[in-house]
Amino acid sequence: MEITDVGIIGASTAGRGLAAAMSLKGINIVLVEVNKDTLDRGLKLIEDELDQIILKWGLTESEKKAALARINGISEIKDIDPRCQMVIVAVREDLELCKQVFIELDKIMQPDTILVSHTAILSITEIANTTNRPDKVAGIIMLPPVIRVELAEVIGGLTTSHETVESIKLFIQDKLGKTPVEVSESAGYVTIRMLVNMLNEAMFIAMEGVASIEDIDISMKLGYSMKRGPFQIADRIGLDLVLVWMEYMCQEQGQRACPLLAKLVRAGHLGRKSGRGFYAYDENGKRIGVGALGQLKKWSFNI
Amino acid sequence: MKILVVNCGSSSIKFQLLNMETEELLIKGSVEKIGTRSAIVNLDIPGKDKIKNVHEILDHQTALEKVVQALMSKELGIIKDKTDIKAVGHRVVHGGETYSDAVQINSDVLNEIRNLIDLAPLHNPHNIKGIEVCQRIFSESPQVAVFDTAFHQTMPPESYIYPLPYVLYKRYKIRRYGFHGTSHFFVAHKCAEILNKPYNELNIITAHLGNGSSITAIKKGKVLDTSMGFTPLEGLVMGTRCGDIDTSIITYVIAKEDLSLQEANTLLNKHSGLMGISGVSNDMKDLTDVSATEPRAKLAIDIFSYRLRKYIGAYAAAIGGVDALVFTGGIGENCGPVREISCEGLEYMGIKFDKKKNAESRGLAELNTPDSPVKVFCIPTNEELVIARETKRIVGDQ
Repeated sequence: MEITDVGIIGASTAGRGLAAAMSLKGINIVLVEVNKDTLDRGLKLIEDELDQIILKWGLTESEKKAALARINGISEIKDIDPRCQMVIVAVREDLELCKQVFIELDKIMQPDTILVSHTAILSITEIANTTNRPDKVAGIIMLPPVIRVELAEVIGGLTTSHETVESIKLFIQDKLGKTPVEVSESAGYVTIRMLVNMLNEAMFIAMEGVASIEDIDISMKLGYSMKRGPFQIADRIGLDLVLVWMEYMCQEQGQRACPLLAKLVRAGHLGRKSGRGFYAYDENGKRIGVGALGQLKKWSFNI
Repeated sequence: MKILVVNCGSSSIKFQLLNMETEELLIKGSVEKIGTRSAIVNLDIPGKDKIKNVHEILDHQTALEKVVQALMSKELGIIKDKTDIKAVGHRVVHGGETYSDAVQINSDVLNEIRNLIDLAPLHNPHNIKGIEVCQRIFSESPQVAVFDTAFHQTMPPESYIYPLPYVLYKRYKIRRYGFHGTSHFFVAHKCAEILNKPYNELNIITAHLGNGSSITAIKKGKVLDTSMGFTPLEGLVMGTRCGDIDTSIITYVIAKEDLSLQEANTLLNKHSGLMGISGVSNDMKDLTDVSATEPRAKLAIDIFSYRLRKYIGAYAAAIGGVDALVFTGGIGENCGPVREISCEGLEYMGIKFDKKKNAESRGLAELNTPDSPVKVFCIPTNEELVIARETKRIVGDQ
């Protein structure tokens, strides 16, 4: 089955990113957001994001127009085009909410439509079992910014069929031009598990006064030829989202989360999007120095 | 003998059906927005009203089947049965070093075109799709591939090898290939025909100026050099492509602006050229319309024409004197100012340009003064006719 039309539930950061990335590749999108204001704001944010890419010469004005024309925003799940060959649910990470959406989709959509949960932490198998098509339910996780990141982890639950996983992988590779990696259901899969653990360790290193935030990033970048260090990565993703992952992963792995992350999120320092996080940013999102944790030096053992 | 010419893109198919006994165009058309519920089928029969229909067409096979149905329909009745189409000629963008001529397609040829995807990732995959679809629909008829690069394969190594580590040529076939081959081929031959001289004795410079532009130096009937290189980005200024630049700019801008490779590629291919300079349009017509009031539109025209003139001079030197200079393509055929500026001051090399004739001319025309040692022509191109002729030649009397 060729996937040409995709439904996306939720105009969250992930939902918007998926809608923009896919419509740019010629996929027709139905974006469902129950809250009308969130929907309108979401569509506007997608346009803003595409404008940002134009400023970076990654896109032309006419390509933007064509992409936006392919996104149809609606506010009722029941109005979704039943011909969509795939629906991706990108609502907040809440199992009960997610199950409700899948039960509803299972009723509306044609029996061969693939239902996908975009989640870092929810159990695909548990979601799949609420439907009458557990073999056609899978998960994906695409890190933000979805348009730029060239990776997608494809998650098969215990009941997901090989065919379903292959269809999604083929779609990601051929239609989106990104690289799919198949992962089994497991806390944090690959990218989130690695990031959370690396970032937690990096924060402890900073807190213990071993090295500064900037020097830790420099060490990882130059030492391992990484494009960005752990703090830069976290700031770009958004610290509120990283904190959700962190708390979940630490619970799953039975370990202690470094308190610095929660401290920043409580202060509203959410990374690049809020102008402050581990680093401080100017209005263009350009890094201009260390964020509020710069005063860590004063507290550290290493004086 | 009816021959179908097919040019298959990512979401479109363009086609022409020609009667090759008379070279008469029977119908031309296109299917656009393939893969959507509102694909558009355009049919254009010479001398009749254009037909435009919207259908749900999700793949190329369905698209071409729709076209064939229309051709066989009672209303059009252009063919009775699909076996009336005796051969299909395909435009294939990249023939690499393998093909210096059109070729009848078999499984080996198809595999080789597939191997060349690496060199033309934006075009060859769709050309292959077109071939596969036609093989299924017209299983009785031979299929011929006509390559955009083939005409340029006579270039000598000093033209096509880049001054880079030679191992890159060996390892990845990085060299200059050139494009628009069928267009340069057509107008060069037409030029010889007009001059009524043997093609193989003439030195001709052909300038194909459209949204993509390239210029070719032909010495005694063989391409000696052409301005497009490894990809269609090199050479002249184009609608949105930069043409020749100092390549260090690319790494410099990537570092300064933190660009991804995709963004850098788009910058050079879609945000540069006439569009990038003028900030107004990538269309030469728009620029000439506003050039009196928009300094950057005028600058874009000047850069375009100046660089074109440099190439004309360089190619005249390369082939040791010119018999004729030919303009073709959308800009070459329609934009008098560009032709005029690019020929300005070339009297020393024998081009006596007739500004008045140039300003008045549309379509096929001679643009030089009667005493000009070098002839200057505007010749409308016809790539589909070349593909049909090549197909007829390759298929022969089968």
